[in-house]
Amino acid sequence: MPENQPHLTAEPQETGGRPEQRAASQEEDRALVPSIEGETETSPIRLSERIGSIGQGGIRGQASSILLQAAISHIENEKSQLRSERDLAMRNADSYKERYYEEKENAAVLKSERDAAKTQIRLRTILLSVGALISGYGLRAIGEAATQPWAWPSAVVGCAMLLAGWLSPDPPQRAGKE
Amino acid sequence: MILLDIHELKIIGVEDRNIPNKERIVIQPTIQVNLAQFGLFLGHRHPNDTVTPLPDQFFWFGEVTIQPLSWIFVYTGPGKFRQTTEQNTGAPAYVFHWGKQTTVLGHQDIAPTIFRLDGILIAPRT
Repeated sequence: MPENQPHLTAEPQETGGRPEQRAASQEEDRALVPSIEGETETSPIRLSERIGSIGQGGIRGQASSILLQAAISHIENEKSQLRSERDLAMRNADSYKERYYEEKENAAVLKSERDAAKTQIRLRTILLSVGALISGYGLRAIGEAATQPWAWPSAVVGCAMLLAGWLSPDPPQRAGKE
Repeated sequence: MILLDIHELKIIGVEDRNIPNKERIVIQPTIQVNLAQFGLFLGHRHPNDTVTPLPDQFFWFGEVTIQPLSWIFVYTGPGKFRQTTEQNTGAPAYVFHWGKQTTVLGHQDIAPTIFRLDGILIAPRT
């Protein structure tokens, strides 16, 4: 309907209705949506509103003091529960911290073992490759008619290097952590 | 969950709240539309203007094609479908009945909400 016109109740000429309906009671309304009234849950807002309303009338009478006592008891229980949860969270945090430092140390050890292994492998490769070159050169020179003065020393040194490379120990292998 | 707005229909309002046999939801179409793809449910309106459907509060219009400027009345009480005219404007009016034995719109936080069907899945016959 246009906004500048007074509200006209829209109604059909004939409804086709049967006059069997009755008005819902408050309980029936509440049953439809219990959370509308919301008196079953003790939310922090409602608790403080209740305590505030007690304060407005003054804390007099048994009923008010019982209600106040219940409210305070509820807060105390919640506080105690929160404290337990906080303590548990702190214990968990400590345990995670411990594990973190353990793993960090482990990683540092692994890193240094890896670096040592790399160096070992590099050295072995050099010994084998250079040893093969020198010994090859030296042995070929020995075989030639006019033997060069450096032939025998080269062959010996080269073979020694080859032997050293073959016999060098394997880099340490860390057993899998269980 | 955020859903798309429905533009094919417009909820004019609720008339005669909590008055037995008169309480009704007034709707108008904005375009020609087949009401079979729409339904109504009662929802609990939250302060941020969202709704949560209330259990077992669903209504389906059925297969009716309507034109703009006509009226749709959904009476919450029992009755039989009528096709008539609106008494002020004379425009066509389609009158449905939800069949509730008691009024249901007494509380302002109960909001009639239109939804549009996108698909269905029927349980196999067992």
